[in-house]
Amino acid sequence: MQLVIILSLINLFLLCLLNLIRFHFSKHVNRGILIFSTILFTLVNGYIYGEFHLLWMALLILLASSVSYSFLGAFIATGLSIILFYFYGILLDGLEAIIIASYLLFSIVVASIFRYLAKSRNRFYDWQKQFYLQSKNLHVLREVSLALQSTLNIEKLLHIFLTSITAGYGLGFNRAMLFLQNQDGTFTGKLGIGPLTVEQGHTIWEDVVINKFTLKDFIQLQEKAIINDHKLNQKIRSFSFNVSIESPLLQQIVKRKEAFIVEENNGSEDAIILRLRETFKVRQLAMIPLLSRGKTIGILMIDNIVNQKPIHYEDVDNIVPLATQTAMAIENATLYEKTENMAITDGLTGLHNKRFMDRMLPHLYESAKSNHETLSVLVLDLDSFKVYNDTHGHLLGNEVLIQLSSILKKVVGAEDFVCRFGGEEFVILLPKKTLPSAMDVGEEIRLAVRNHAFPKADSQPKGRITVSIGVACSTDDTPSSIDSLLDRADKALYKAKEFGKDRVFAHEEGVDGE
Amino acid sequence: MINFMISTAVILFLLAIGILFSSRPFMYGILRWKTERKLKKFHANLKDVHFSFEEITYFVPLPNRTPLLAEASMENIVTEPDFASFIFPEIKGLKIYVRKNKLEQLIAYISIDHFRLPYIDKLLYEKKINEQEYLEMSGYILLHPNTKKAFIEEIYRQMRVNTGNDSQ
Repeated sequence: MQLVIILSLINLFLLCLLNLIRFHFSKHVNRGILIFSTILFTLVNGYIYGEFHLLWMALLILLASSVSYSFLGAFIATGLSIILFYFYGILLDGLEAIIIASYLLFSIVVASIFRYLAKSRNRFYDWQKQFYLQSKNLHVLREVSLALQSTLNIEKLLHIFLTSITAGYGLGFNRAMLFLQNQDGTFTGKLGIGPLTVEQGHTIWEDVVINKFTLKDFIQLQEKAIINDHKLNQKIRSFSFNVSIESPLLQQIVKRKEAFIVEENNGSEDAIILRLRETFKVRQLAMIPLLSRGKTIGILMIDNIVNQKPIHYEDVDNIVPLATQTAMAIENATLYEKTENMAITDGLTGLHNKRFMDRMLPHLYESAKSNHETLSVLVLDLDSFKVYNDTHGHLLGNEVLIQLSSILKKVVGAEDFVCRFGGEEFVILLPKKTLPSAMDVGEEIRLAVRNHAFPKADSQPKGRITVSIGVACSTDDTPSSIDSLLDRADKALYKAKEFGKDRVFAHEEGVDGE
Repeated sequence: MINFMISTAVILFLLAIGILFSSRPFMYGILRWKTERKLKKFHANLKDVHFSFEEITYFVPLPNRTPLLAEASMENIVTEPDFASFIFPEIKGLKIYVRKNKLEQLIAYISIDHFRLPYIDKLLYEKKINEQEYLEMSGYILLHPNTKKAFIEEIYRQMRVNTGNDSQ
């Protein structure tokens, strides 16, 4: 009796052990071990308790086989059991048909139940996967929409868009590059996020993971991203292309306005794809047009350079709503930028206007004050311009203003600002310039104007077109307001006019001097 | 005969139940053994394997003003492993719930397909492990108590961020 118990326990232990170690192996070996363990368990029990028990214990083998290999497993296990039992004479006389039918019924029922469960489970997981994916896309779309609405700065918009595509919190592609269409129809690289090589990708990603960045962090970390992807961006910004017959694939994308996946072994007929592959070590590549009001304003290129995960059309479909939203945001930001530029630019001369000067002067003034630097202002007026306009008409007068603007732009430095104050009056802001340097600039302008061949200038009272210039400078020693600075320059201009025009006059505290 | 059939059914049922319920812990035990052995082989420690919260799928925007979520403490956030099949279990992911006063809401999910670990990715890229081993290692790490704790803390942080109640 004791031996029976010990043997039974050992048998049970063996079943458990095999059930444990089956997980060490691959899927099929795992199933094989499960079936083998039930066979072993059954045979040992048959030995301990007698052959008769094999009849019912075989159901365990049928169960394991049916669960492991469905109907195939069920039929093979049933067939083999019956053959073996028949040869060893275990089948009970007169009950053969019932036993065979019971085995078959049991196996078929178990296989059917587990097949049904497996099918339902797979259907459920497919549905669940779709649900999770859509939830994630919705989450990304929500986060990105909020971020896109927060700015009208194009660079920032592009950064948000590409971050949402490349960050794991976003759509999780390894790399994204954006090319925007210029007014002449060519496409130029604007921004890219991602590594240049697989090794760089691993390093950047490890850094991201260690720091536990979130999508919001990524969006806020624009500068860091640009530094990280500096080399990639250098390459992208110098990459431009024209969609022509030499690039049939890109032509198709722009024409059809549909995303396209270029597989690793495709695209050899397309010159631009070949250049992209060479420059960015691209293998599989997805290209998505950015559409705004039915017009392609750019092309987004994505690839999985690091993990080489294949990109499918359903992945690309998730980008389309983001791309469309971004395209609209880019167009709005471009229009805003244009409007803003128009608001601060003089329509005739292309110089800054008075609105710009009113906005810029306080900044320059405060900056000069806090940095203990000087700020000089030149107020310039065309001499006897009314006479010129009355004689030759406003059209020619406008031409003089345009030519004068060109002279002013040429003479002043890159840090200086030339503004058309109104009519024939101009203001030039010279940050960090002392009064003598500002006087020099003024003198240079005066001479350049005097020596320029303006149209019909000989009809002027002095036989040429000239300017008078008033100069004032703000220093630490002469505490003054913005208004008083302009006022002093204006007074100096009047002095210049008063002393015969065509001259530069400076206003110094208590002293007016030429 | 009836007694015999009943006892047969009971024993078979018990054995089947035993196999069913032992499968998941057995599988996790083997994954643990295999992962730790692999890490040892590469002179690495579980602490060296960093993971990202990036791939969490949120089903609700966080922070959220729904009373159940707004008033939840860290103890109310629970994780539940997501397995497919009992006899041949596969780790599918980790579900994160808020459970309080018999109320429950699924707030986030991390799928095993998206649970990528840079260190193991590197091993895969260098062909030191294969895809199957990658899945086994990431599965073990995903269900590791420290990982679960980290996810709970992250979710709690997301729930409390910008609410003026950031302290734990």
